[in-house]
Parts: sequence; structure tokens; C-alpha cells
Amino acid sequence: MRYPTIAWSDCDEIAQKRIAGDDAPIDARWVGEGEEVDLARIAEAATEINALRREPGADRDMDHVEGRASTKLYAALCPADPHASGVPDISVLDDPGFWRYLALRYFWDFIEWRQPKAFANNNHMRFLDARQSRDTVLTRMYLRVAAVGGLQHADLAEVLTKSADFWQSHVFQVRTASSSPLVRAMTDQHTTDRLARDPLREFAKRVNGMWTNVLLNLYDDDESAELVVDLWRDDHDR
Amino acid sequence: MSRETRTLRPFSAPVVFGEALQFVQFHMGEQICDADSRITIESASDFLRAKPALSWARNDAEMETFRSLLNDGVTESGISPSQLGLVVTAYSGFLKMADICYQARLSDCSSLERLVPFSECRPRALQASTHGATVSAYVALLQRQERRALQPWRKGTWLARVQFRLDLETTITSIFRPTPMDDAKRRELGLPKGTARYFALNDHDPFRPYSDTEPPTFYVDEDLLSRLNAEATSPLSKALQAQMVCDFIIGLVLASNARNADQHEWEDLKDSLIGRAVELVAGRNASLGDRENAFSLLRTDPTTFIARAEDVLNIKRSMIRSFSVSP
Repeated sequence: MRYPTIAWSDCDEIAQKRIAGDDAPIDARWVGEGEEVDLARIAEAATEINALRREPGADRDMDHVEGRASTKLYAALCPADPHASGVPDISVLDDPGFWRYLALRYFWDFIEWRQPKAFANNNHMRFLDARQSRDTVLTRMYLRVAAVGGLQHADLAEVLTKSADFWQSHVFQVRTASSSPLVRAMTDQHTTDRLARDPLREFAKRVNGMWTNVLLNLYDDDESAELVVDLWRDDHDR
Repeated sequence: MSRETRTLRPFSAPVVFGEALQFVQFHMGEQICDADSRITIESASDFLRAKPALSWARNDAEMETFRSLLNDGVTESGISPSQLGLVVTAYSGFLKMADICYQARLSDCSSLERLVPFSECRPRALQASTHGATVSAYVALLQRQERRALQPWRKGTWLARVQFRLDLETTITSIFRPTPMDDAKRRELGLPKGTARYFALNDHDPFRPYSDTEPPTFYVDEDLLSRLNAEATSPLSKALQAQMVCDFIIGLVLASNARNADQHEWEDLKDSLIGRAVELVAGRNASLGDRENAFSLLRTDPTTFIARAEDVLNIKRSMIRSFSVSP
């Protein structure tokens, strides 16, 4: 599949110029062979996503807005019909250069709105460059829906409020992101019996400890739910 | 009766399961990866073209031994063979994808095919042609057991595991990405004005899996970096770039020894940044013993470890070539 990419150094140069208020054209390098990735679908999603930040109250819970944006982005990248033309395949999504292109070409305004401190402190690349998929805004948005199991469970990617720590520290940063039933169970549980930051971290430690010895990818929804309930609160909390 | 007792595992498991899995190999086309080893595939297109397959043993005779060891393990464990299984997973860290590629009960061991191809329905993780994948083969509990002290009981508990790391031609050199450093950044870092390079470990733990913690930063003076980028293919630029990768490794070695590298075992470091440096120094397709020796060298004789990194990075050749072009 043919798709556009941006080198890390070009991305940084363009970003620096934009932050300084200058215009900076994007000179993408197209790589791969065969069918071209369908960018029109992504451009449409970007229009909707960029509009979300202007909704009343959006600034009060940016992470919740990011959750809604995640579903739109995921639907554009992985539509319900996987045979639709121009759907980027896994090798495209695995290329950080592709994510950098999307960030600069379509999602700059949203990312800048989402990470204002980083953009003010010259720490913008962490959220643009896709070196770490859990940090970069677009990749973590994709991962959020992928982690719950795709579009059919996308409501779970949007249900939690003020939940940046939940997703970044306890899902994306650890092996848990690779088990959709487990992420669904954790999201359900956190929705119905929300834990404060510290007890949530203690719970996450218990799950991470479990990963050391147990192949949790073998667990279905019921088994994951049972495990999460079992580990949710420490004995003294129960 | 022999038993495996590793400190990380709160139960014992028949050691013969681990012995059986040592026969397992993972194939990417012509390239073969031994148990607990790593192979490097040259390009993304080669990665996608290569037909993946797992072999439980190298030949029929070994296959018989493999089956026999599994049967011995079943007997020793006292667990029904229908509740124990061979499980193969493929995981790719960037997109956090894990696929269960294969699952078979040990009660069906006699009908196990020696070779398991994955090319017909290629697992998603084996399509991750930038970041590569880790394939793991386990002997694991397929069903929950009655809970007993010091005995594995949870479904999914693995009793033995081997891993196969499928890397693209990237490893530590791809992790090395210089960050521009201007005067303001030097001030922020407390560095003098003439500093050209600076390794900052940040909150990165070089002994944990690389993707689990914030990456370190290798700062390079912004003017120098822009000259390097502008003339990226010149012999001088290539020599300086190779030297900077070496400087990155030096920074890493210093930082890791300051953090008590000798308290770690190679087994636990394979996906860490230190693991990548050790892989680099041990050489492509090095054996497990070679890697353990390289890690030992890092701990006991870091300057020789760095000298070996210089050798692998061809520093001498690139430096000499940098003089070969007239100014």
C-alpha cells in the first residue's frame, strides 16, 4: 500500500515553525507500493474532530473529548467494512512516519488544543512524533478504541470522564492494552465503581503482577470481568 | 523429581516443560530463530514477504523427544493433559496487538504436527513491519484448577515459556534519535554553552521493557544537528552519526552501571534498552550464551563493552573514510 510519511526531523522543523506562527509546507515522502491509502475519509474525520474542541465545555474534560474523537478517528482508519478501498493496513499503522503526516496535515489544531502546555514548553514532539504510541495523541486515540475491541465497543472508549491516567498509565503503558476483554472489564468496573487515583494504581499493580505469570489474553469477557472484580479493591477496602 | 524454582514465580512447575520448549524454533522464511533468541530482518518488505511458521522440533526424532518430555511434564504436574496446552502468541508493542496464533491441548500431543505455518492467516502482530513482533510459545493451564498453595491454579498460568524476537534492522540505532539542543535547553539542563552532546536518561528505566517507560533523550547542538541532517550522506556526517550512536551507548552504560546493573539477570532484560545495547554488542543472531557474556561484560568491564560497540558500529572505518574526501 502506498502512503505518505514525514521524517522525524522534518516533523520537528515544521512543528517549530508553526508554533512560531510561520507557515510551513508539508513535503511528504510516499512509500510502499500498490493501492493508495484513502486520505479523504481521514480528512472528513479530521473536520469533525477539530470541531469537537469548540463545543461548549470541551476544555473542562479534554480527555472525554479525546475519547469521542478517538471513535471518529478509528472509524476513518478502520471502517466497519474492512474491505473498503484505501483502508490502511497494519504495516501502514505501524509506521510512525504515517502518524506524523496525519498529525501535521489534518490534526494539528486538535493536538495543539489537547496538549497546550507541551506546545508552550517546546515538548510538542512527544505528542506528535509517534515514537511512543501511548503518548502521541493520534496513536493513543487509535489505541483507545483498539484496546476496547474496535468500533462495536467504541462506547466504552467514550464512557469515562476525566480518565487520562486510566488510559495512559493503566492501559496503554502496560500489557493490558493487548487484551480487549480485560480492558472492557476494567472500563465497566471503573464506570460503576470508580476508584480514586491511588487505589486505581494499586489495582493496576495487581493486574500487572498477574500478567507476569498468567496469559490473560486467554480470558474471555466473563473471565476477565471475574478477575477484575476479584482484584478491584484491596482486602482492606472490601 | 526436578522442579523449577524461579524467584519471580510463586509456584513450582515441571522443568521438563521448559526443556521441551527449547526444541522450538520460529521461522521467518529462510531465517530461523532459536528459543529465547532474536533475529533481524533486513527490511519491512522482507518482513512482510517472509512466510512465518513455528516448528516444535527440528526433525522427527526430536519431535518424539519433544512429545515425550511434554508427557513427562504432565505426569509430574498431576494435572489432566486436557487442561494443559501449548499456546503460541504474537505481540507487537507499538500497536499493542496480541494474537493467540495457536492452541492445542496436551491430550492431543500425539497428533501434533511438527510445523505450524502462519502464512495462510497471518497474525496481525506479524504484519507490524516497522516495529517487529515477539512470538511466545507456552505450556499453560487452559482451565482453572482447584486452588492449592504453591501450585498453579489460575487459567492461563504458564508453566514454561520461550520467546522469539523478530526485529527489523533497527534495534538500538532506531531508538537513537537526536533531539536539538539550543542555548535555552542547555541552560535548562544546567550545561555549559560549549556542550555539543548530552545524554539524559529522564525517567527511563533501562532495565525495564523499552516501551514501558519514558525514552531517554540524546541532545545534540541544534546547529551541529542541522549540518548533520543537511549533509546526511557525506562521509564526515556518517562518521559523526556513528560516533553519536556510540556516545548514546556510552551514556546508557554509565547510567545503567550507576543503577546497579549487576542486580539484574539477562533473562529479564531482553526487551529493555540495555537489552538492545547488549544485542548490538553480541552481534546479529548471537546465541543466548553470547548475549549473557555481553551483558556480563557490560557489568564487569564497561570500557571493553564500549570498545566492542565501536567495532560493531564500524567507527574506525567511518572515521578513516571521513578523511578521504577533499574539503
